[in-house]
Amino acid sequence: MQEVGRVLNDTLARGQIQGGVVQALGWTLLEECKWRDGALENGQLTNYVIPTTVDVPSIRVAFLEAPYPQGAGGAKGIGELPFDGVAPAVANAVAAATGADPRSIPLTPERLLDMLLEQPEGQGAGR
Amino acid sequence: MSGASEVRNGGAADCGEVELTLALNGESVTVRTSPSARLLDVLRYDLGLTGTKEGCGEGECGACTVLMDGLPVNSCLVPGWQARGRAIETVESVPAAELTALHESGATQCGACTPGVVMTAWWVRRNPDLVDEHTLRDIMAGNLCRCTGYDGIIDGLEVWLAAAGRERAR
Repeated sequence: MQEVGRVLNDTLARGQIQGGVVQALGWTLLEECKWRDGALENGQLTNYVIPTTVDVPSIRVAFLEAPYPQGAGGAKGIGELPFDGVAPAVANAVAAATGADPRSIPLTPERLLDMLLEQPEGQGAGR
Repeated sequence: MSGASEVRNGGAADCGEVELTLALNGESVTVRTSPSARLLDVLRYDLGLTGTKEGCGEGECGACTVLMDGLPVNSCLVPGWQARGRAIETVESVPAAELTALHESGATQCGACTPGVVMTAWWVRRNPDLVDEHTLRDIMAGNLCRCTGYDGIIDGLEVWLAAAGRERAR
């Protein structure tokens, strides 16, 4: 659900939000720039992995329209906002499922395992 | 033609050229190129078909997908000389009328992945039995897209394949 001012083109507006959410899922779960000696260590798609079709679900989009008086035809920029909610939502889902308290992303399996192993005994649904 | 070869070789000593004849989009063409040229280079720089795009250049992203003897390949990973005697199909060969569904579903935003997406989709379109064994998401997993979140691509492909199925049933 996103407040977009007024939708000028349904297909493109929907695509902007779907694409933004999927990029944010990559940022939340997979993507991390690793630096060594001032150089990017994983500057290839082999080791800086972004989501493929099979890594992400279909994204259902709902528009909340409230025409924006300063925007052309009542529109607002929508390309970046889809990023904002994804990482908190995923982190909260991980917290609810495991009892971990994620404070940083990407929530890679390795980082999540470390987090779970560091938990005090008796906490967390996974133990 | 030789200019492009010099650029690709970075001015290194001339290591000769190879000549190859291939069936390009249904027409026989003969081209002389550097032995180190990738199929991608042959298509873009020797033959002028710039519809095929270079993405990562290392076989991860699928932007440079073309069909070789009817199967999708990353043209950045195929040595040009390996195309000798093969049938190569590029995005230029796909009739625009076939692409309406992808166009209308929002399968393209920035367009960098589009030629590769279209070629994989065209392969599926011509081999509809593929979807009996694999999901469209499985089939399209070799084509990375940063903009659409893939819904536009998958939705468009579903519409396209459904329309083609109705066409066949007629």
